[in-house]
Amino acid sequence: MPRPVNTGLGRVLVFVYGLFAVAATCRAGVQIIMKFGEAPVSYLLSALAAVLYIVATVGLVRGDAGGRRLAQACFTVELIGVLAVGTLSVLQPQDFPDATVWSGFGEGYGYLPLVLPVLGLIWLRRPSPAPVAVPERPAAPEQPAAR
Amino acid sequence: MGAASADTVARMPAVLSTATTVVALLLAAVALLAAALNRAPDRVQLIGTVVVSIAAVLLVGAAVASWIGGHSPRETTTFLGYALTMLLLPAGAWIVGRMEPTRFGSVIIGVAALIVPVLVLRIGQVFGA
Repeated sequence: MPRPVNTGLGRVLVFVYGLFAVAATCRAGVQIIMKFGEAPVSYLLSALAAVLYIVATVGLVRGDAGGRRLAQACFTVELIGVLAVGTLSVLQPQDFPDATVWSGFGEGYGYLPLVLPVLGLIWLRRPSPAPVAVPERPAAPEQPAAR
Repeated sequence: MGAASADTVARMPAVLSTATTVVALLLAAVALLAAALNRAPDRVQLIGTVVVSIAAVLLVGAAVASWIGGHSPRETTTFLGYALTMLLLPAGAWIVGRMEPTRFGSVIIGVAALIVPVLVLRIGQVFGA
């Protein structure tokens, strides 16, 4: 039986990814509606990041085989995106007149955009149940019939 | 904007900003310490969450009051987004944290508490006080 990916540390990932999904969606939405013309590439990248965060959150919450694949694909694209955009934003800042979530390797967000996909990929790949595994639920009343 | 008007609107939220930041950092310390000690969210973290929520409500309330008083935020939508996030985040983290009755529940509450000071800063910037 596959290990659950949406409990334990996975639930922390779900929470933080959910926050990022909301934050990035709102930010991209505001930017695109209010001032799309100023930096269309930046804002479209922000929107792409937002979609990836949403899909990754959904995949993690689902936690089944499809959800894992979905989350894994998102983490991979995010990692590539944050590395590529981060590098480009440092080398050619003139291409990014306004910051995206991924600019400077996510420096505007405490580098979480760089750390999260790495954490997520490690989490999905971990070979065995976490050694710190603790009971998943507070003890449900024992079935008296068992003894 | 005149220095005097900026000063009067800045003072009240400044106290509340500091207070919110301090209680949020305290909650973060308590929750992350609990996580390090392998403890699930407990009553202390609940009280901390309530205190941070109250501070957030007061801060947002003060900001909205100064907005009504004529000192509008530079970016209305952005301000509303941050304000709403700050009001919902502590309680939301508590709910999700209680769904995870392990040390990782405490991690969730601690991480959310660390985000609150960032929101306080951003609200301050958006308000340009």
